[in-house]
Amino acid sequence: MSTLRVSGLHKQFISAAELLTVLDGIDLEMSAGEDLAIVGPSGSGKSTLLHILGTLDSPTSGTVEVAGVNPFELSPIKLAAFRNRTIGFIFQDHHLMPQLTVAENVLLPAIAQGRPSEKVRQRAQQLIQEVGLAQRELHLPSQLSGGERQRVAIARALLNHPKLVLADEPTGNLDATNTQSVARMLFDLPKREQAMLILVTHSDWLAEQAQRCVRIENRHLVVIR
Amino acid sequence: MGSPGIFTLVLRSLSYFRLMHAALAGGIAAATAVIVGALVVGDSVRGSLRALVIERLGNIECAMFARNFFNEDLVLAVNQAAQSSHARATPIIMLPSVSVERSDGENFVRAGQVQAFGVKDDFWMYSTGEEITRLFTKLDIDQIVLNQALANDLGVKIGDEVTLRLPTVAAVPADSPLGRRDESSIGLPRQKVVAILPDAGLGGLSVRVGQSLPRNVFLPIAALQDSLNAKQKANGALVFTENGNRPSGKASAADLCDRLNREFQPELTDYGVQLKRHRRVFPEADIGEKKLPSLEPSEVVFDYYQFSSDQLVLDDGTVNALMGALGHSGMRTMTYLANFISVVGEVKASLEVPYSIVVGVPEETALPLASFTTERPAEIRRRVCWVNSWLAERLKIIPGTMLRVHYFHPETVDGREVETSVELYVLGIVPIVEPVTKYDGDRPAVFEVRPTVFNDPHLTPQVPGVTDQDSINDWDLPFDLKDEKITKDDDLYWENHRLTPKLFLPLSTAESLFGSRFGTTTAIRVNADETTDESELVRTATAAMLTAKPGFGMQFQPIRQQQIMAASGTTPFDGLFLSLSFFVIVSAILLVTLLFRLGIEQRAAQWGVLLAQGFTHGQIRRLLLCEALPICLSGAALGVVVGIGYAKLMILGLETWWLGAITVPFLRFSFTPTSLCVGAAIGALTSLLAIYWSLRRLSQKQALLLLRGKWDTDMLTKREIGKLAMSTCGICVLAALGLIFLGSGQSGMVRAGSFFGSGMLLLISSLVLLREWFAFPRIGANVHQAVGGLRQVAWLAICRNPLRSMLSVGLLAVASFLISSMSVFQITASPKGYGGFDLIGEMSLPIFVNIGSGEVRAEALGEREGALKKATIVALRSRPGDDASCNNLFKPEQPTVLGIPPAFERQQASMPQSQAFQWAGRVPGDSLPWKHLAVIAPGTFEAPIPVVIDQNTAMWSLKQGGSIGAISKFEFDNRTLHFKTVGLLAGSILQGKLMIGEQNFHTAFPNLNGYRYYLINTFGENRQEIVKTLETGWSDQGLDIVSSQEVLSRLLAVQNTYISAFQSLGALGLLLGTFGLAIVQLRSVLERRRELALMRAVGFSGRQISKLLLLETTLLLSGGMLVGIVAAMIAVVPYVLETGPQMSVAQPIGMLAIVFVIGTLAGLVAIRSALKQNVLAGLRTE
Repeated sequence: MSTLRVSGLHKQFISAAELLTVLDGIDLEMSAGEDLAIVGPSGSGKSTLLHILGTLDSPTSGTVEVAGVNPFELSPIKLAAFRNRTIGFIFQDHHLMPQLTVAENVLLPAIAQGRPSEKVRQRAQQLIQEVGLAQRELHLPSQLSGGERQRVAIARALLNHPKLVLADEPTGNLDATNTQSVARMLFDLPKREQAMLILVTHSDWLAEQAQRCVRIENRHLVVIR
Repeated sequence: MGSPGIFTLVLRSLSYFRLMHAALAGGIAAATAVIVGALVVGDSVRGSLRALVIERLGNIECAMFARNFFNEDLVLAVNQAAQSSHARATPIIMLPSVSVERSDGENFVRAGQVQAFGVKDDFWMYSTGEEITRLFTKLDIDQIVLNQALANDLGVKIGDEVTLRLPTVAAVPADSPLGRRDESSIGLPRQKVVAILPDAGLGGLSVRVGQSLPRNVFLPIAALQDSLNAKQKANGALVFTENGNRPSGKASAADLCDRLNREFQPELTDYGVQLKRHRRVFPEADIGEKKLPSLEPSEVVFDYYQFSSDQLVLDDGTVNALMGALGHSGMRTMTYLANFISVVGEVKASLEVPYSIVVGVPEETALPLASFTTERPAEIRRRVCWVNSWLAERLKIIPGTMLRVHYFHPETVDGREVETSVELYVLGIVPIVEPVTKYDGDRPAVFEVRPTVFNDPHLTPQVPGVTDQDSINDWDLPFDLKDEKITKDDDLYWENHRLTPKLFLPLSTAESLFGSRFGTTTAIRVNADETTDESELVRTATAAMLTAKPGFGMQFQPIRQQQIMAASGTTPFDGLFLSLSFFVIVSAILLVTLLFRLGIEQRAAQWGVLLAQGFTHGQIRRLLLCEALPICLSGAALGVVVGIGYAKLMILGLETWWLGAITVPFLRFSFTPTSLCVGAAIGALTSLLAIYWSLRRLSQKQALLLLRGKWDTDMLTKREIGKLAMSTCGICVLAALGLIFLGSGQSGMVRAGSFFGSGMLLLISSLVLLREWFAFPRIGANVHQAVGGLRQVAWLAICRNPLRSMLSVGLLAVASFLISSMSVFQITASPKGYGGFDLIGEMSLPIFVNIGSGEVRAEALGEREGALKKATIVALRSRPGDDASCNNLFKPEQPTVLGIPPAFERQQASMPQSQAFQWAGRVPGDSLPWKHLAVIAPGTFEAPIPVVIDQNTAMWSLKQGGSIGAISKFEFDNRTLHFKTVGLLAGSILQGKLMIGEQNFHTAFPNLNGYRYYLINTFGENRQEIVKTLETGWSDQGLDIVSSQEVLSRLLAVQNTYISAFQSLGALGLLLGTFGLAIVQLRSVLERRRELALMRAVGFSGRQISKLLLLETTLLLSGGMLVGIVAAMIAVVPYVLETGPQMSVAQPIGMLAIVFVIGTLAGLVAIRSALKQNVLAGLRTE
C-alpha cells in the first residue's frame, strides 16, 4: 500500500546573513487514493513543502517516506529514477516543452528511461484521450489554449503510474470554465490510479474539492479538514 | 503514435530553436574560419615558396659548382650517363657575384651582387620556356641576356650596352705574399643586351635560396673563358630533366647525382695538380748543341716524379688523398722564398744573400742530409738547417753558425706582406757543383763534374713570371724587389742554378714557419724506382683524388630537392598566424560559450521540467551535447568556407600593408585538404569543449531554480570578498611583481616577456576582483543606503548575471591589454643596433688590401682620401651565403659568414658601451664576448667554432632557441662545420650572419681571399662625401654603401609588421567581443522586459530608459577596456623607463577608439529594442 509519511520536517533558508525558518516540525500522513489540499497565505511555505515532498528541494531536518522509501537517502541517479517512477508534477505554468507535440510531452517521463515501449505509448494515448485531447496529439503547445496545456500536463504527470501526484496552483492561470474541467480531471484521474494527490492552492473552491485540507500557519501544519 | 526517444528531443530542439543555433553556428564558424585561415596561410606560403623554387629552377635537377676550373669535356662524359636517366648535362661558368655597369654620359649606373652564368647553346635548349626559344637560341660573343630585375636596376633596354666586372682568377692565392693583389677585377666591356628575361622563371635562377629577386646575367661561356683565361674550361655543370622524367623525391634525385658523380672523373690537371718526372743523369746523353765526351756510362743523379700545384701550395685535401695512396713512397716537401739570409751578429750588407729558396724535406729522404750532419739534431735545442756549399762560401758559414732567415709571413696581414725572421743553427753543409755552362732560356745548365742530388732546381715549383726569367731583376712579383741587395754573385747563382735551394730544413720546421691555411706542402715526390710507370702513377693518383673531389666542390648536388626542402621555410606561417590570430580564436570561442550559455539559460525552465520528470543531470548534459554536435559540425563546415576567404584576406594583407613580413610580394593562394580538415576538426572540437565546459556546472543547478527560469542564483548580499578570490589576487600580484623584478635585469625578449607576463597576471587579478565585485555588490540595508540614481541601477543590472558580465568584460579587457601592450615590442631602428657604425659597405668582388688602413686608402685614392680622414673603416672577410635574417623565408642552408678581425674587438672595447653593439645574451660577467672569437677551433663537434649571432637570427632563422652555448652545424663546401654561440647581439645590423674570428674563418674557408664587407663610422661628418668617395674609388669592385639605419629598419620591419598584424587581429577579436556584448545587452533587455515595462509604467521616460541601458553598455565596455589598458600600462612602464618611449601609440589608440565607438553603437541596438516594446505587453505574465 502506498503511503506518505512526513515526520518532524524542518526547512530553513539562509538569507542576508540570517536564518529563515519556513517549516517548523511538519508531520503528515497519507494513504493511497487520498487527496489533500494545502492552503495558506502567500509566503507561508506551501510550495516549499510541496517541492520537498516532490524531492525538488531537501528538508533541513526531518524525514519523508514515500511508499516506504526515504528518497533523500538515495544517490542522485536513484533519486531521479525514484522521481520518475513515483512522483508526478503539475505546475502552475504547465511547463510543456514547446518543441514537442502533445503526445511527446506526455511521453516525456518515459523518454527519461529510454525509448517508450508499446505499452507505454498505449498508456499515453489513453491518457490523452481521457483528458479530451485525442484530436490534438500532434499539435504543439503553442497551438493549445491554457486549459488544454494544463490537461496535457496532467496526462504527463500520470504516465508512469505515480504513487504521488503534486500540483502547485494547477488552476492558478486558468479561467473559471477551465478551472472546473481541469479540477475534475485532477481529482478523478489520480484517484483512479490509487495515487495520492497533494495540491497547493489559493482557491477556496478547489480546496473544498479535496478530501482533506490543511493550512500552513506560522510554519506549522494546521488541519482544517 | 511514434516512439520518440532522446534523439527525437534533440531533433525537435534543433528545429525549434534554429535561430539560436544558427547564431551559435555562426560563432563556431568564426572560430573555425580563423583556424582554417591560419593553416591555409601556412599552406600558401609553403606552396608559394615551393612554386618559386620550381619556377626559377625550371628543368634544372642537379648542379655542381666547383672551386676551380676543370675541362668542360668532363661534362660530356657525364652527359652520356645522364641521358640514360633522361637527363641532360651542360657545362657552365658560374660567378656568384659580379658587377654590371652602364654608362649614363658622365655617370655610371651600377648593379652589384649579380649572378653571372656563362652557358653553352644547349643550356637554352634544355631550359624550360618557349619564350626563351622565341627570343633567341644562340648567343654570340659580346651578347648577353639580363633578367628584368637587373634591367630595371640599370635602366637598360634591349640593344643597350653594358660592362661586366668579373673577379680575377689567380692561381696563387691573393692573400699569400706571392699572390696578385693589385688587380681584383677584369672588365668585359660593350656587352650588348639582346634579351631581357622575365623574373618569373629562368630569369630568377638562383643558387642561393631566398624569395628576393636575384639579379642575373647570361652570356656565352666562351666569353668568360676568354676573359678569365680558362679556355675550354668550366667551373660548374647543370643537369636538366623534363616533366615526366623527373626523379620523384629526395632518394631518386640523390641516386641520379650519385650516378653522375661516379661518371665525373676529373684528371689531375682539373684539380690544379701537375705531375712531372725529373731525371738527371750524368753525363747528359743529349745536351743540345754541345755534346761532352762520355768516358763512363750515364748514372742517375736523381729520378723522381713530382706532384705540384698551380697554386704553389698543395691543399691539405689533395695532400691527404695523394699520400694516402702513395704511402711510404710519397715524400712531401715545403719550399719557400727567403727575402734574405744573413749570419746572426753580422751587420754588413755584403754578408746577406737575397731571394733564396729554402726547402723543408722529411728526415728520411732521398736527400742524404744525414751524411752532412755534424751533430745530432736532437741534441741541439734550436731549429736547425743545412746550407749548400755556395751559400756557405758566400756567407762564410761553417757548421754551428747561426743564421737569420728573413721571409714574408705565408699569409698577408690586412693585404700587406709582413716580414719576419727565424734563427737557424747550421748542422751541415751540402755540396753542389757548379756547371760549366749556365742556363739559357729553356736549356738547362751543363755540368762537367757529376752534380749532386742537391743540384736540383725542381725542388722549387714553377712560378710564372719567376722561373721563366733570365735574371732576378726580371722577376714579376707582387712586391717590390730590393734591387740594391742583388749582387753579381746572386745573379750568377741564378744563371747557374736557377731556383736550386740554398738552405734545407727539416719538414716539420718548414711547415711551422711557412705553412698557412693554403697548405703546408709544395710538392710530393715519388722516386721513380718505387713505381712501375708514369701511367700507373697517374691512375693511382687520379683514383686517390676522387676522395678529394667533394672538397673541390666537384660534386653534383640535387639542387632542386635541396631548394624545395629549404622552401619548407624557417618560419612556420601557419603556426605564426595561429599565434597572431590567437586572440581572435579565443574571442570567437568565448562568443560561442556566451551564445551557448544564453541559449541554455533561455531554456532553463525546460531543464527544470526534465529534472522534475526524472531525467538526471548527466542525461540533460548528453542531450545538450547531442544538440551541440551537429551545430559544431555545421559551424565548422561553414567556417571552412569563410576561412578560405579569411586566408585570402590575410594573404592580401601580407602582399600589401604587411609586406614588411615577407619583404617582396610573391604569395599565391593555395591550400591542402589536410589543412581544411584539421582546421575544421580543431574548430569543431574546441567549440565542443567550450560548450562542455559551460555545462560542467549543470549538476549543481537545482531543478527548482531552473523551473523558475533562473540559471544562476540571485545575487547574494554578502559584503565580503571570498577568501579564494583574495588568495588568487594576492598570488597574481606577487607573481607579477616578481616577474617585473626579474625582468628588469634582463634584455631583449626575456625582458619583454617578463613584463608582458606581469601585465597578464595583473589583468587576471583585476578580473578576479571584478568577478567578486559583480557577484557580491553592495546592497543598501535600509532606506538611507538604498539605491541612489540610474548609475547604481545600471550597476546592479550588470551584477544580475556576474558570469555573463565577466565574460564580456574579460574579453574586452584581454583584447585591450594585448592591443595596448604589444606596441612595446615594436622596435625602431636605434643607433644602439649600429654598433657605432653608421654605414655598411659590401663589394661584389673582393679586394685584397685592407681599406681600413689610411695608407692603403691613400695609395688607392690619392687626394680623394682626404674625405675619409676622420672615418673609421673595419674590413671583414665574408663568405656570401644565404640570408639568415627574418627577411628570408627560406630555411638557410649556408648562411653568410663574416670573419671578424682582432681590430674589430679592439674598436668595440674602446667605444662607450652605449654605442657599441648591444648584447641580448652572453656568459654572465662577460663584458665583451667578441674576445671569445679568438679561440681557435677546427669546427668539429668536439671543438666547435665560437660564433656571435644576432638573437633574432638564432631564435627564428636557425631555431637555436637563442641560448649561449648552443651548437649549430652547417654544410659548407661538402664539409660539416659546427659552431658554438658565445654571444647574442640584440637588434643589430648584423642580423642574418654568422660572425666568427678571422683566424677560424681562414681555417674554415682557406680559399677565400680578400675583403668584401665593411663597417664604417663617419662620426656624423661628411657622410655623403664619404659614400661617394668610397663607391667611386672601388666602383670596379661594385662597392655599394647603405646606411645602417636603412638596413636595420628593413630587418626590424619583419618583427614590427608581425606586431602590427597581431594588433590588427587583436582588434578584430575585440570587435567580436563587442558583438558579444551587444548580444548580452539584447538578451538582458529581453529578460528584463517586464521590469523595464514596469519602470515605464511608474513614470521613467524613454530617455531615462535609454540612458540606463547606455550606462550599462558603457560601464561594461569602458570597464573592460580600462582594466586592460591599465594592466598594460603597469606592465610596460618599467620597460619604457629603461629603454625610453619607443612605442607607437597612434595605432593602438586608434583601434581602441574605433572599437569603443562600435561597442557603444551596438549598445544602442539594445536600447532601440527596449524602447520598441509596448508597455502593456511587457507587463503581461505570458
